[in-house]
Amino acid sequence: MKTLVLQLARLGDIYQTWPVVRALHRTGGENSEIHLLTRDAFSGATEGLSEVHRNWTLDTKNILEPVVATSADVEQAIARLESFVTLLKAENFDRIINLSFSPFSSRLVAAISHSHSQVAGYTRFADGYLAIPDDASAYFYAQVGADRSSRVHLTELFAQVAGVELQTTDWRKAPNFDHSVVSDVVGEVVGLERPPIVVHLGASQDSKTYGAHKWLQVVKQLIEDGRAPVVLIGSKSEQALAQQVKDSSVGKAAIDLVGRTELRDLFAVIANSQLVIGADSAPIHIAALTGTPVLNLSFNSVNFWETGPKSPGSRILSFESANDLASDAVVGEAIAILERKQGHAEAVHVSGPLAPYRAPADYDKSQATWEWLQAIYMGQPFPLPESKLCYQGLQRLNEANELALEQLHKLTTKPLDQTAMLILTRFDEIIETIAGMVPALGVVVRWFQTERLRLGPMETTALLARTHALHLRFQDILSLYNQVQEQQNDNLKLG
Amino acid sequence: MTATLKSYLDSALMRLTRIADQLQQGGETEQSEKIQRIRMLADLIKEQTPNEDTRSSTRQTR
Repeated sequence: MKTLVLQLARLGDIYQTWPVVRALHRTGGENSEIHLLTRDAFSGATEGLSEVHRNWTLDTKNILEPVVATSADVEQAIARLESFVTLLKAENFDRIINLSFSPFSSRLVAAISHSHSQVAGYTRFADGYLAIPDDASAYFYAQVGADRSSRVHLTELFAQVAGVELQTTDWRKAPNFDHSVVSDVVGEVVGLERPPIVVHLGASQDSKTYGAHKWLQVVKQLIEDGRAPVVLIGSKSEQALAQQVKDSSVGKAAIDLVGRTELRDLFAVIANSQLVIGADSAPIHIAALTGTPVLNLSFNSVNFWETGPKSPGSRILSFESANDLASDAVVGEAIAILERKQGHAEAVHVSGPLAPYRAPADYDKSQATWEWLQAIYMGQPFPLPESKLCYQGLQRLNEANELALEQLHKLTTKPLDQTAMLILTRFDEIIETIAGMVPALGVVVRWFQTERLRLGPMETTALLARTHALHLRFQDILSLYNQVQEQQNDNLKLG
Repeated sequence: MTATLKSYLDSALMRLTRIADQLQQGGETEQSEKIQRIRMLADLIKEQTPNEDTRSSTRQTR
C-alpha cells in the first residue's frame, strides 16, 4: 500500500501528525510505503521522522512567483502547478490522507487522485465543490476551531481521518536525526549541571503570546527562585523580545537560544529539560514527542482542547487573554509541576498522550455545547435544554424543519414548484438565526448543514430523496424535545 | 509578512479571480481544468497569509 499523507499546515500541525504517521507505519505491514507532503517553508519539521519513505515539499514560492510578479504570468504559474500535480499523480498512490483541512489541499487531492485511490480528508467533487468523504473530517468541518466547543484533540482527529488507533509509543520514539549536524548550541544546554526550564517567548500569532513585560517577570522570578537554569527559545523574529529579557538585570542569567536553533536542535534542548513553558506553538508539540512536561499558557485565540500539550505531567492555564494571567500564577504553576503539587485551581491537567484532559470539577465553559457534540457524534444521551430560550429554539428549528419537509414533498410531485424552492432557500437563514441566538444549537445546525454539503452532486430525483432523508434525521433529533417538559428528570435518547 | 508582499498577493488574488470570472463568462464551467487550476492558485495565495486559519477556511455552502 502506497500512501500519501498531506500536512500543509504549519510546524505545530506537522509535529502533531508524527504519531499518526508512525501508527500508519506500525499497522501498514511490510509493503507499506508512506509519503509525506508538507509546505517547503515548514518541511524542517519532518526531519527525524524516519517512518516516512519519501518527503515531498510544496514549493509555494516557486509556483506563485510568476503570478505575484509585477508582470504577472498566470500561464507560467499554472504550468508550474501542473508540473507538480503531474509529478504527484504519476506516483499512483493507493491511498491519500489529507490532514490539512484547507481549500488548496482539497483541490490538490482531487487533482492527484486516481479512480482506484482511497481518499480520506477533504477533496473535491467532480463539479469542483468541496467533498468530505469521512465522518472525522465532517466533524472537523462542522465543529472544530477556536470559536467552537470541540474537546477532541487534533492528533486524535488526524488518527481518525487516517483510520488508525494511536498508542503511547507513537509519540515516544527517538527521532532519527543525523547527530553530526546538531549545532553547538545544544551543548550549552546538555552540559548544564541541572536540566533547565525552557521558556518559549513567541508563537505564530501575536494573539497567542504572553507579552514581553509578563515574560520578563516570569523569567526574573524563575531565575530568582534558583530552581533551574532558564533557557529562552524562539525564532529569529522573536530575538528583539529575547533581548528585552536579557537587558534586565536578572534576565542576563538566562541562556538565550532565540533565533539560534534549528528544529532538530530544539528536540535535543527540550528532551534535556525538565519543563517547557509556552503558548500554543511548535515547542509544546515537540515536548509531546520527547515526553517533557509543559506548562501551556492558552488564550482565547486557540482551543487548548484541540491543540494543547500531550506529555504526562503537563498543565494548561487557560484564560481569556494574557492580561488575565498574572506572572506570579505562571511561576507558581511551573513550580507546582516540578514539585508535583497541586497548583492553580483552574489548571487543566494532562496525564499522557492517550488520556483526555482533566479539567477542574467546576469547569463549565462550553459544557452545554460539548454535551450536544457528544450526543450527535459520540452516541451519548441528548442533553436537556439548558434554558427556556434553548427549548424555544428547538421548537422553532422543529417547525422550520417540518416546513422544509413539506416543500421537499411538494417538489417530488411538482419539481418546478417555485414557492417550495423559495421557502427552501430561506431555510438556512432561519436555522442560522436560531443558532446565532442559542450557541448550543449551533452544533446541531452545523451538523445538518455539513451532512447536506456531503451529499454532493447527483441527479435531481436522487438528490431530493437524499435531502428528504437528511431532514428526517434532523427531525428525529428535534422531535426528542417535543415531550421534554413531561420528562424533565430523564436524559433523552434517540429512539 | 511585509505589507508590500501582502499587497502583491492581494493583487495576484484579484487578478486570478478576474480571469476565472472572464473564463466563466466565456462559457467555461467550474469543472473546467483551467478554472480548477486558477482556483487552486487563488487558494494557495489565500493560505499564505499568516493569520489565515487554513484549517477551517474551507467552510462553504453549496
